[in-house]
Amino acid sequence: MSEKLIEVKNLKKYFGTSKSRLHAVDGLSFSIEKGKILGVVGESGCGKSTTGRVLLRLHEPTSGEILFHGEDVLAFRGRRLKNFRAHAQIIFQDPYASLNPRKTVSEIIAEPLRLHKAFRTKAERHAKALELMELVGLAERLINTYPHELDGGRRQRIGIARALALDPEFIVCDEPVSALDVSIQAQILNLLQDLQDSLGLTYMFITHDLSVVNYFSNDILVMYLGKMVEMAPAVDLFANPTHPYTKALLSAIPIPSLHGRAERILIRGEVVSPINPPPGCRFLPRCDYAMPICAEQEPPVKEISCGHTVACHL
Amino acid sequence: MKMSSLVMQAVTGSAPAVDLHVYKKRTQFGEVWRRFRRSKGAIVGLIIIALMLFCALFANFLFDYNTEVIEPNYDEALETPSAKHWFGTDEFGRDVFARVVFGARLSLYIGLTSTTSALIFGVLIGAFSGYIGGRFDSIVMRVVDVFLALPSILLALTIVAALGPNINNLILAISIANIPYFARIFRAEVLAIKDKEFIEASRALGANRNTIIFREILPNCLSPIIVQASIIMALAVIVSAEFSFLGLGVQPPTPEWGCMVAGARKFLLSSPYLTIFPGVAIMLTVLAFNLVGDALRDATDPRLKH
Repeated sequence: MSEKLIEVKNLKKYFGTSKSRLHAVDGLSFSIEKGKILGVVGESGCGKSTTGRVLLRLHEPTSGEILFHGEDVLAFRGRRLKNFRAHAQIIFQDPYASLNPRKTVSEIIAEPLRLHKAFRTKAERHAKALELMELVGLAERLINTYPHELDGGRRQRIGIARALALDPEFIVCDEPVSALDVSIQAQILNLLQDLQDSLGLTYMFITHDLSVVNYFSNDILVMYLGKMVEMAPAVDLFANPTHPYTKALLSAIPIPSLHGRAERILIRGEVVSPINPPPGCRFLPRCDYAMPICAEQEPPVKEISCGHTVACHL
Repeated sequence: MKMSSLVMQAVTGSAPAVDLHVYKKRTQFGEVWRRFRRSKGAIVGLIIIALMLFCALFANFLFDYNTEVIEPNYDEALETPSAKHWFGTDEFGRDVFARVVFGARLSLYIGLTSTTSALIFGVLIGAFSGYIGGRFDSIVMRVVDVFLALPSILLALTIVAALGPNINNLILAISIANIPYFARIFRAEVLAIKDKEFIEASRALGANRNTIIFREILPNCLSPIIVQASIIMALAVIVSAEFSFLGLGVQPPTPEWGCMVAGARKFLLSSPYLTIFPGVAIMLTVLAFNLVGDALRDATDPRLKH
């Protein structure tokens, strides 16, 4: 068992005023080992992205604990926080919005180096930027172009180069491929995987695409309305999904086959509002196996096999 | 090893490295200029402004301030325009052309300083108010609203009346009256941009508030501010002429255009050229800044990019 790089305990993030509160993340606990990839899946609005941003202190959590190398991230201030930012980075979903339109490629990639005073001269920063561009597969001739002149895949490569500039250990990938064409998605995923292999990175990979996490992750965390539903090693989760929600999600993956269709489990209804949720199981209104206890008690988190946990009364 | 060779390439651009100077960046300024110069009005405006600037900068070399602009010369009083005195002479025998040329210096000085200071303070107020948000933003913006509710001329008038009529107070009054406009515009720009992902990216990289405001947000909001500045500039020239006309700004015998028009009122029927020339100077300057402002607005509008 290798070292835990990041550990989250009972993390909560509520938005809004005291009257109505949106429970974006509600009591989430998990940990990621060094050099591993945790896939986080769930539908829109389930708190995946919020979790990633809270981990990086882009949002302040309402309560809970975040440990990075065993140190309390929430206690970081000033220099310590800036130092932490060099170790933990983020790759954004939308490569069109995540790059400053007024800056050239080299300026964007060299910005973290400038902020952290990594090099003394502009020429050195420029050289490092070129090195990073080579690392992520951007042609040297693009050095002075602006983001709007490039396609989505290239822009995402710029975002990756920027995240890598300070040699981070941990990167939150917030749906890094969902805004891209399918053919480009594969390129970017391969790039991310190659970088992980060669640089020994740890990823928290947020996505709503299950086939992507299956291909990519060591562990998978399934979220529903700010809560953990099921967490297990990827192989285990796909072989033996336990929670009704996970089962339904997995059955929705299209199987390329000529013979017949796999039986799908359709989920009824819509996601209930995360504002002031009632007690009990959040999935209750849509669950086929609902029991009276589900409405009264929040389902406890049970470990059903090694590393496979699920939150359900069943 | 690899690093140093890359540095070498970057610095010298020598073979076998690709010459990086080939990949020249097309700047934002270049793009705007390309679209700006297609407007005829803008070019006319620029020429007028250049002419006024030339007068303002080199007035000393064209005329002697003390003997030709200020000192009375009763022998040549109220002469009509001639080869010697292009714009004629006023009731004290002073050359009107010389006074108009020196007036350009004053008007541009007042316009530039008041617009610049209004811009700087307005942008600072708008930036911090918009970026910090919350209660701070509400309080600051209500104060700005109060200033906006008062007509800016009335506000400036009050300030000058309270502090006394001279050039510095005039500049102060005009800039204070225009700060709210800049603050409003810039705050709106900041609000539109501050929740973009690239700002979040910058925060994730460890940028502090000032870095984000001045390096990430500001370059993205410059165009409406520049457009507004050119319009305020025209306004400042008018207001300074108005105030001097009313005796609340620059005092005679200083050659301010508004001041000159005021002094020449008595001779409106007998010697109309005394009012016409400084009046035309005011009109041309204001027109020029408005033309440039309009063209800049069109040139910086991203929706008209082609």
